[in-house]
Amino acid sequence: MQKLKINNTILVAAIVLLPLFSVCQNSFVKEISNFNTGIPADPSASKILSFLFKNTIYFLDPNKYDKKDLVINAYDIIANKKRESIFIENNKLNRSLLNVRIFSFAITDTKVIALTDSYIFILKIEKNKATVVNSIKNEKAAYSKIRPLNENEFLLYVYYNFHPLDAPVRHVWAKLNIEKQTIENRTIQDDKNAIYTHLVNDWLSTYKGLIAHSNTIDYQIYFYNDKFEKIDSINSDKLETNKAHLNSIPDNISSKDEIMEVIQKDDSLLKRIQKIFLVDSTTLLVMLKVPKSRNAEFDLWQKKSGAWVLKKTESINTFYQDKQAYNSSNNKINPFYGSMYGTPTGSSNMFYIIYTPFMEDITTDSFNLNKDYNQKINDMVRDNKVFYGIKKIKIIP
Amino acid sequence: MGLKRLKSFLKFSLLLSLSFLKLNAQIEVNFDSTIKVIYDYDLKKTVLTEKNSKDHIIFISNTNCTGCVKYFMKSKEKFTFIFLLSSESLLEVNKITKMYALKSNTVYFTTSEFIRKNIKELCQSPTPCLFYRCIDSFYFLNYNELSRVTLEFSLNTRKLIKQIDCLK
Repeated sequence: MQKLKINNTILVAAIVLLPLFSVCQNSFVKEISNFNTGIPADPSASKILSFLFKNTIYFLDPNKYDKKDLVINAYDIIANKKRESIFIENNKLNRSLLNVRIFSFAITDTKVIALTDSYIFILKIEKNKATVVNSIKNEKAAYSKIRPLNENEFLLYVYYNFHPLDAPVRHVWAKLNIEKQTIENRTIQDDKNAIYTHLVNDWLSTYKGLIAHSNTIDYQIYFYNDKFEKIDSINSDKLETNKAHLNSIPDNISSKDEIMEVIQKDDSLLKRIQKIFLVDSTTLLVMLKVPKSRNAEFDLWQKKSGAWVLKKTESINTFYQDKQAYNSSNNKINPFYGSMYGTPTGSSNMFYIIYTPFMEDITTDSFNLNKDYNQKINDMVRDNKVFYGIKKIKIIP
Repeated sequence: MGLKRLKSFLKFSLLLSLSFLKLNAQIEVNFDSTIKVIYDYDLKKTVLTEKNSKDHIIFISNTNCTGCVKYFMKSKEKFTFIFLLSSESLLEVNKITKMYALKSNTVYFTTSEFIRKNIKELCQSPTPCLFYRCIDSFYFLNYNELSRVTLEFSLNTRKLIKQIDCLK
């Protein structure tokens, strides 16, 4: 499938800008802990594939499609230790999975679900070995994300500005019933923000059967139940200023020239929603990109007496500031961008951020990018010591 | 005699079309002061010379345009590639190397900051572009011109090379 994918959006987000953000002590987003899983991460991977299930975060190396065995590493976030890995051996049954790139995956007590370009593979786990037992043809616009809805159902999602010849639709939801191994409730959704799918985005978040999905140009966030019925919404006029710029931005792009134009205008003109995080069923964190700035703006919404209320707004630096002093008291750096994966923990106002490479807090009197940051990471790469890190985050309303 | 006339006519036509290209697309640059110190795969500094570059036809890219990089990478004509890094980061080098399965010894890296400082007047925000030598000068095609000249990265690169060579 030919995609007009701008890998820069991933790369820039994942490493280049390394858009971490520092949280000052009175911030409503507080880092509780930052620990090294000891699970090796591929330094050349531009994406993290992870999944939280029953207090264990599973990691899958996205570059592992080289005909070798596939390993799903596991880390228990309550006991703070590695668990036994799940192996997908290179045998006749698994070979079709091992030869292709995995977009996203999910885990249950007995199964692994892996989304690839052509097929959705279902694997059965037995004694820490997973074997392909079924494969369902993926759509032409291949579902690229899978999120848990309830015990037996997962949300399948794709939203991308496909070339019209590659895929007739651009934004589709469906449910995967893991017991019946069928795809149900296929629903075509509004795709008016499709051109911004070339840029870093995560406009979908789920929490125990509740689905939140946001627009990006307009401040509109809709909530759905697990039958995809709209049940609630958040609307704000906070992004009204975008309207003045929309005439100069193409609303349908198909060439690389046009994509570059959108990227440049987006960088310089637009403030819009980049990611949302359902921390629990009544707490939503909204991350907005700000024009001409590395800062991100965060809004904290809480549902009180049946209505969503904007509790707090904060502008936060997305990276260490040059010549700034850092120590353990102000060094709460959270990778909220590309290479992170935010996931609710089930306990109120807490969630985890998974990132790579793991890095200890920086202590310096005057921050220097190369000395205090790049050289440390370069040493990790040269010494083969690139690991996944996990940060536990608490929202303080 | 007829063949000679045809050759002259073709040469005249090409020069005419390239003079158009030159008028609209070429910007002469001082190459030595623009890109000289670059990094290898291990971020060790090296200097771009005639020996380690291919005819000084150099494609520079961040990863804003995967299609553009692949266009030059798949070409039978050999280009020297310089990839832009946002900082001196081996992680970035690793990711770019993996993304494009780079093996060539004519692949180098430099920082966006370096490019911004040195060719700021050419491209405000670093985008894929091409440097090439023509007679004794270096010329530069920015992304828009490069996109136009290569017909949105679909023109056979041999034809592109011929156009550039023709000016020598």
